[in-house]
Amino acid sequence: MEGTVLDGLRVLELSEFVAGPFCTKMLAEMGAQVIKVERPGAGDIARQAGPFPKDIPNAEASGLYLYLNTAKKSITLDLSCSSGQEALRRLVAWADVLVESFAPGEMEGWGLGYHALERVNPGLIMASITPFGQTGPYRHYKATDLVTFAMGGLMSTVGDPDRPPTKLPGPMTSYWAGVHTFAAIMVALFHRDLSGQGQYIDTSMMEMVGAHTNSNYLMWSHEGRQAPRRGNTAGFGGGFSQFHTTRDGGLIMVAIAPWDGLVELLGKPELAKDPRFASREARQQHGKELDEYLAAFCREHDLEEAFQTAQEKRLTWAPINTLADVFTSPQLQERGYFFDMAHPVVGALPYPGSPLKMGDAPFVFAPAPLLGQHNEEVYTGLLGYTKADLAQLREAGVV
Amino acid sequence: MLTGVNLPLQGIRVLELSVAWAAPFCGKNLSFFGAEVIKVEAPTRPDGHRGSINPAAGGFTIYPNGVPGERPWNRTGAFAERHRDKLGLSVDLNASEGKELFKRLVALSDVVMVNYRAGVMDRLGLGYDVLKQVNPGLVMVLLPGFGNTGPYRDYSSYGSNLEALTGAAGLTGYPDREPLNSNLTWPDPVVGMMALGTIVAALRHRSVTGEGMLMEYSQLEVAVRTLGGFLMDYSMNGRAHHRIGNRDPVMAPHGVYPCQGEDQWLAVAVASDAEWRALCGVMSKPELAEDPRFADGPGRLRNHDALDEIIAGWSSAQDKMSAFHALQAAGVAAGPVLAHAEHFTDPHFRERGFFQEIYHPEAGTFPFQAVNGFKLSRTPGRNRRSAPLYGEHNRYLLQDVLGLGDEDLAHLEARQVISQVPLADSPRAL
Repeated sequence: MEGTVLDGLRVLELSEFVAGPFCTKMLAEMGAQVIKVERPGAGDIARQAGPFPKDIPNAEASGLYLYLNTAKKSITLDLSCSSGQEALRRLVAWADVLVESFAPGEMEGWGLGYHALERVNPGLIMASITPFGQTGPYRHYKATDLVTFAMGGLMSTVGDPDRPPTKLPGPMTSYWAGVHTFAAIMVALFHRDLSGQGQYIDTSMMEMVGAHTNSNYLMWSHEGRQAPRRGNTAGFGGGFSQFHTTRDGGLIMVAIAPWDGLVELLGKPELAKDPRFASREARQQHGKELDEYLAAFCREHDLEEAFQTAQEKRLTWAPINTLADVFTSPQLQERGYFFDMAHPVVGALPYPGSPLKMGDAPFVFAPAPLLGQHNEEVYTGLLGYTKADLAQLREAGVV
Repeated sequence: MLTGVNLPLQGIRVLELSVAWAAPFCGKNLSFFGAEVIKVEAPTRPDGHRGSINPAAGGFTIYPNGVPGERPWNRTGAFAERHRDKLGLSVDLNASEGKELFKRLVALSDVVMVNYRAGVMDRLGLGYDVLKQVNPGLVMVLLPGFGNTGPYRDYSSYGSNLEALTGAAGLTGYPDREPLNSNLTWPDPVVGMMALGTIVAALRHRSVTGEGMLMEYSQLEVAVRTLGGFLMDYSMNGRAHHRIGNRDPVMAPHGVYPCQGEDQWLAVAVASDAEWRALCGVMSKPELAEDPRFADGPGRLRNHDALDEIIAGWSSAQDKMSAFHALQAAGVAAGPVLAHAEHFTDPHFRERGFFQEIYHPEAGTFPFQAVNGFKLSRTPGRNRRSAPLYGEHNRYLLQDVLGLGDEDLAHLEARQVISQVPLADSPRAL
């Protein structure tokens, strides 16, 4: 096998922060040419978000931007003026895929909605990522990840019952939306290969969170129960605690299946005949009693030892890692997951790599672009503007 | 056998050898877009989501109205959700006849997707090297928890312990409490959706080059990628973040606030000074907008505890839905914490057709989530049928597709190579 999996695919990214950039990062890794269109002056808001080396703000050194925009080209373009819109139409004629995350209606307002762009390029696949989607009563509402976590249902069940509903760390729904949109684009490309037809993709983060937590719908639809917030307790009725402290002060996540494996691990053969633990259901009902055995075992073993010996019994235990543990994880180290890459402003840093292999096809990693780094190359090389045209666009603040 | 319009993956056949949720989530979506996805189960190892074959009283598995019925393995909510639209085949891959049948199906398939532990397919003699002889164009996808190499390669994993290993659990919850597991195994659907994209990419690659491929995932590594900003801070500054509840490093106020009623909450995220002034306006507290403690983002971050008290004092007397609409009308990102039960009547979900009722011959008719995170305009995909009964499509697959006779089937059944009922509980019954 030669070449990358998405060799020759042309992608235009009109998006910022996490969701759209994460989506097109995956496309770039698989070999697509991605041109990222940023606002003249400030660029992608991820450039202001940091983290920055030594916490010194610098639009060319934001860790979030550097991570999410590897192997892309950056141009600047003001979409709110007619010469900017004309340049975008030329880019759309070049592109196979366009990813954007403006508020619904904003692209239409500039004359750059899907129906307008489809006329420029009938095979275009255009994906819009928004908190609520392009239709429905909430479509014009604003959200951050906190709000999509809340409205998507996830928060209602995460956290301790005596504390408020709790979000997951960072802008995670935005990462998820990037993955969903990536998958949607692939399905749309497959259809285009067969039919020549492009299409429009409407990604809704609220719906995505609902889909990711759909087990909780079953409790309501099938049994009329609302899934509770239950902290780290397994099961819904007095189940055992999933987190325990080890002898060396570590925190470990425990599991009790397969049951015969746990009985062996605990070294308590009598539990195999104990009626309190005779079935899955019984073990859930007597979770608090099980807790005592689990806690005692963890108190007597160090974290790494408890993890290894439990896994040898096929028990799905795991250390509760810190980010430092993630970087030094023997599993990730041996697989060479983090790799060093040099950036002209920030220098060499370790980055998370690809989580998969696709046959022998290579993945593409290259440092994120500086703001407008590829203006010259794209406007004069690709779109046929003269150097004078480009100077004029720069003068007018369009580029 | 299944027909429909606007199903772009129609004609693609997928063999799904799966446990838990990651590969099932992918398979469900492949079938949503038209692929024929065959869920393969062993006679003595039914899928864990079918529950126990003799569930004890007081069970935790979800059944229609709590009733397991005569064939409980066909009635669980979890199996119905996760294996919608698929065909069901029961075959023992440990038996030589089972391996033979499987290889014959592989020859007629496009994709084999496996999320067993690393190395299981090789031990069964059904690794990629063997299967590609049978079908050179095959796309084979292995989705083990940790990848096929490394010291953890043989370890078992679910989404839950990946939350711990990625560092995400350590970052979830409040600084004065222990970390939190989401209990939602969120890495599973993320891995499953990414697998959907890469499988389709591999199929496109095959149409161009004529070559199949082996795809190998590490679910841990997929999940770690969603912590990008945190990882880069460690990478740049050696800083390992700690959990901060619902707060944000930049936005303030940022949190959920109690509303009228029991366990009712409103999420509010203020990203700018203008939004802060708008929030003060909606709370009818114009003097707050002038308070120098809260004049800018850094000030609001420093005084977050005081802010929380003021906002909670206001929100406690508000209905979460009215406050949500009022804040949004003023340009503030806010939203109610919705329980899953509330989604069934949510006007936005209703208008977008989020739920669809699906009839199941042994479980009855229930609404299921019918829309994913995205809608495709020309090829929207759709749910076409309920999850398969155990072994439901043995006859279709072995007779109509492979051409076996009645006697062959009876023979296979007598030797327990195939079965119409599960013969034992899965040791991994969830």
